[in-house]
Amino acid sequence: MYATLFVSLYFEVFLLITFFEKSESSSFAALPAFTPEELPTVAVFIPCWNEESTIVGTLNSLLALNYPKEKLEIIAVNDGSTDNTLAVLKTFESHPQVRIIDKENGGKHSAMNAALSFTKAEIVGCLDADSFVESDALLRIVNHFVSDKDVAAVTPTIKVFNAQSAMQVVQRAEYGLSVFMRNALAHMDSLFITPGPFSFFRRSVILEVGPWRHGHSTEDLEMCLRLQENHKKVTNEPNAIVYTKTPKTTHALFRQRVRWTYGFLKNAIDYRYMFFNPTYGTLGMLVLPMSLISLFSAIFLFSSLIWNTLVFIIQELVRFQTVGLTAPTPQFDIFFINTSVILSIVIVLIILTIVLMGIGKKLAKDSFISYDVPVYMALYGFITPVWLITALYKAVMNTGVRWR
Amino acid sequence: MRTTPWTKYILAFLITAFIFITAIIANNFFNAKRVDQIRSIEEGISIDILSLETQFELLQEQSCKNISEDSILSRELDTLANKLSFAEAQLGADNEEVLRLKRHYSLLEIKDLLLMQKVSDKCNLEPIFLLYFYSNVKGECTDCKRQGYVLTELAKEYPQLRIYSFDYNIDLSAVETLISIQGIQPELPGLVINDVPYSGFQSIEAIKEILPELATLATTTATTTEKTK
Repeated sequence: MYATLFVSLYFEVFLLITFFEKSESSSFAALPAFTPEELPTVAVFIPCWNEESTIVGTLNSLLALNYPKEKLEIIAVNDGSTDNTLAVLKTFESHPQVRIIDKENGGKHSAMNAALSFTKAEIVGCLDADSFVESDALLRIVNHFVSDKDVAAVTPTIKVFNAQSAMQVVQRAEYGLSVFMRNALAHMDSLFITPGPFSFFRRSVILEVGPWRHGHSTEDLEMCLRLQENHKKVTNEPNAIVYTKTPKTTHALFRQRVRWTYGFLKNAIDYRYMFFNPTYGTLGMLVLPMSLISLFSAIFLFSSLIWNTLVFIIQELVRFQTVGLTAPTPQFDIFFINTSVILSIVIVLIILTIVLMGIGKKLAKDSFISYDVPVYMALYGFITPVWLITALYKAVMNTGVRWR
Repeated sequence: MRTTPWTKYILAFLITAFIFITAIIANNFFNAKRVDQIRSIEEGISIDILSLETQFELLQEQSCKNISEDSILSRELDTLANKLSFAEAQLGADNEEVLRLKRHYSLLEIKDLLLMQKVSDKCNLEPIFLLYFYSNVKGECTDCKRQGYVLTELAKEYPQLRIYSFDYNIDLSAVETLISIQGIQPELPGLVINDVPYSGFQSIEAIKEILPELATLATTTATTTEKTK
């Protein structure tokens, strides 16, 4: 227990030190001023599988991007949809910037590769068909490719679009934490996911390391690990903002997170030689091992909590069986306040997590004062381990996971 | 590929270690305060018992009018027991300081018991004494938890019932002598109800059957009922 808490606290402290160091800023707060000639050609891929309800919004947000029209092409790939997606896409067919590919269903990676073979653009990226971008997002991302020839990939800041259900509100807080994590990991050159919504790549680099792979249903994670394996630079632009529709129900969220965790575990096995390997810098020596340890720590802490709760319930049942229903005697005395080391460290960890979340929200220009943070703190600790355990089981049994 | 300088790993380690050490020092500080508080309560009870003994010896028969069955320190002993049990959970049952406080507490209980018996004889009071012997050794007393629930409920229902609990394995000759005098068997939980020893778990109903006079004691429930009438 002490070791688990020490390791978790160490990682949070390490991330905070890295963030506050900021010896070399990776973000461009001001909008870059480039002439159209200086800007590279860009292609945005939209893999679509049954996206008839959201694809129009996604396409319109891309068409509204602040980027020279002659340098931006949008390639929508209908990946064997069984709904009306293709018909909706065809309404954009006449638009000069939009290309439409219709193919049999083969998974997101196959849709990305189909689009890749269709373009000669210097910079390529993806926007999931349930996401929308701010108009200056692409310009801010491209700025990194223009300013630093070593940059191979750039990730954006992802925010939850129109959170309505309790689960979406919880995810809004969680995405705030992710914004911090992505930024801090970029400072350490240790990003290991280029998320589906609006991550961009230098096409020449993709051709060099190879096209997208299935990657155990997490092609974004596999591609980033492959880039890191090949010592390519992956960075983050916190001011490039993309909004994504998040799962509305607990069941949908559970399925998504099982897929993500399963993908991480299986890719961790595939890329196991990167763990504790100094060749891969901080990513290999700290970030990847810590991500795996955190997963098992969460399962361990959750199991302890469940065990203690069960012991308490059994005790109360025995009490009820022995003396019947009894009213507790309320008493307050500071003598009985628990000051154990474990509880104190857990409180410090919770406070630090809230601080990290606050920094993330500030980076994403969100208000920190929101009810989503307490809801997140109250709920997530209990539901996260459930999908971690499920994903671990599926990974061990090699069952595979489905997208939806 | 960027490599983090080893100084940053060490700095993060030092900060984490500092937070851990601070938590440990703070916990030790609060535990020391708790031990001090328990010691202070024990000293207070000790002085009170000594004072009562002296007062009783000085005034002899005349003192009876000033002494009722619940005038002695049972409530303070209960508070002490709760705090001692919390300290035991925080510091560990094997902690030397906890064991010392527990031995002192057991001695105070025995002194209170003896004094109360003396007072009862001289003043014709009829308090009900219940001695409870338990064990914290794993596997030695599977029913001690349940017996504890029963006695807690009885104490809540009948505040005048005088319950004294003793750790069967405590390293204290006075308790060993008490165990021997009362004829407590190693099959725990062990109870002594008005000088008669009982082995094994006793339910509320069983204890009420052994002690029909409990019915004559005022109960907290009865008091509440009286007030609502």
